[in-house]
Amino acid sequence: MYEFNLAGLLPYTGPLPGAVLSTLWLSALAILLSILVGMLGALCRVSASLILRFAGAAYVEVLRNIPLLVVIYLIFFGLAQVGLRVDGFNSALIALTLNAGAYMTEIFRGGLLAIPRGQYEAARSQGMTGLQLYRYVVFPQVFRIIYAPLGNLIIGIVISSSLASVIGVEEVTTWMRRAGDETFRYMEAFFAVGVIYVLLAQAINIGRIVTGNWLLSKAPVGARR
Amino acid sequence: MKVMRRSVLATVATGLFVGLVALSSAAEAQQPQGGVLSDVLKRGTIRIATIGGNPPYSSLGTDGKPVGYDIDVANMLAEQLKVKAEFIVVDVPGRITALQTKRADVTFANFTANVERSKVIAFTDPYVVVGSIYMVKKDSPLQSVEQLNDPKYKIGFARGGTAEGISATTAPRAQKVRFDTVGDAYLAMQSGQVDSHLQDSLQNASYMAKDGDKYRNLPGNWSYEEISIGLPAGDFDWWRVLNIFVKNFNASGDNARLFKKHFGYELPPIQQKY
Repeated sequence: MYEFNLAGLLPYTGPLPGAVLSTLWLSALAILLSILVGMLGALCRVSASLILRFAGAAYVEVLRNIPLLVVIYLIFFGLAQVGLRVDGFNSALIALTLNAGAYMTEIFRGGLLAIPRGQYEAARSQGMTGLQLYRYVVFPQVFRIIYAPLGNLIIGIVISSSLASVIGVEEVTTWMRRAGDETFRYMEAFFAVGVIYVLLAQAINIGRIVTGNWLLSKAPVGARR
Repeated sequence: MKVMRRSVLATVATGLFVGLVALSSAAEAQQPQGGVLSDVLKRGTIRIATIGGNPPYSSLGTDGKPVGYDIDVANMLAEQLKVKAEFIVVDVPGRITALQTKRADVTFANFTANVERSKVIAFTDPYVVVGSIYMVKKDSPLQSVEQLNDPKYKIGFARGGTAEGISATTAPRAQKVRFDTVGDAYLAMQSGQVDSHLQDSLQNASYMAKDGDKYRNLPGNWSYEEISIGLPAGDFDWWRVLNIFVKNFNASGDNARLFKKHFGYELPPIQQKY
């Protein structure tokens, strides 16, 4: 008869803070990098240049249609076969960034498309340069539009970072498996890690909301939603 | 701040939900059951947990069904019990979980009997005895395990197995990289992501027979492991039946025959001289 006993995990809680930090660090880097990738990708996708539009679309369609696990294997094992050895953490980071970047591209593109053409023309007629146009007119509005969908994706990145465990990255899921292996308290380890991911994802989510409120409150009143 | 309050609420709700699920599954696992033997006979099916990616013991065939030495042995047991064999493919730590949660009646999964595991599940007598070998690429600078015991080298192995403890005692200072399957750890050594793969000695022999021109072993055999059938703890009748099966399987020559078929060489002695 299986007896559920969380205290059975206690001897193995030592490495947990390090594992949590590793998951947070991996997720945070992947979030920042994929936002950058997404911005570039979206600019490509709405660009006037056919080549850039094609490259952007190809990136999104390919990366969005390969499971993240496969991307991780391709980078960790595949690149190594041709002599390019990327360690576990960086392989997972690159894979997460490429995967989430494709989704980010679509989110940012949606935001860009929601800005009426007339605003571009109006900004131009005021003598704004391309950079000024994006900095003062387009991005502040895009930011507001993509704000909510961004939150979903950010949580998705935290959750997906658990796949890094398959290539031996020491993070929360790896801790879960090792804690189970060492204590034979697998059920308890699964349960504890389930709770940890909820807390991590919500911590990042609350961070997003707080930053968002702060950033949005600085925007001109008329633009507030 | 309304959004934030909602988010905190969501956290609490999710926490409660996860808790309820965990409690209910724990409660389910605590339901009293009849003996495994009578369950298996009544059901007409024996549920066998095995692992994938671990040739020649067990791996997934082209049709997705498990194949290998452990699978043939398990089928032989099902045949003798006159029940149908149903395979459940789990990962290395999943062997224990499957037995603990009674999802499987037995494991045939290159499973080493040791005291630590015996605290939570049970084992029969062994049907194979193996050791552990460090394998490296032929052109590796490594010549010995002492040399490997250095933070600049990485040792790869499948998590949840005995390799964890063996690497910790034989090369405590080297970096350890844990993979889901033996196949992944082997691939990692092949592609240069780890410097050495700590593996089962019999598996090593079959790898060497196939790819001996690319790899070599570091001198030394680092463990003595009795590969046995795993079963849920606390069921004497079930253990009794399985153990008689193992004894007959070893004595009848069936084991020698199946071993030769899958490993390509003679079965090493199971009775050890101490």
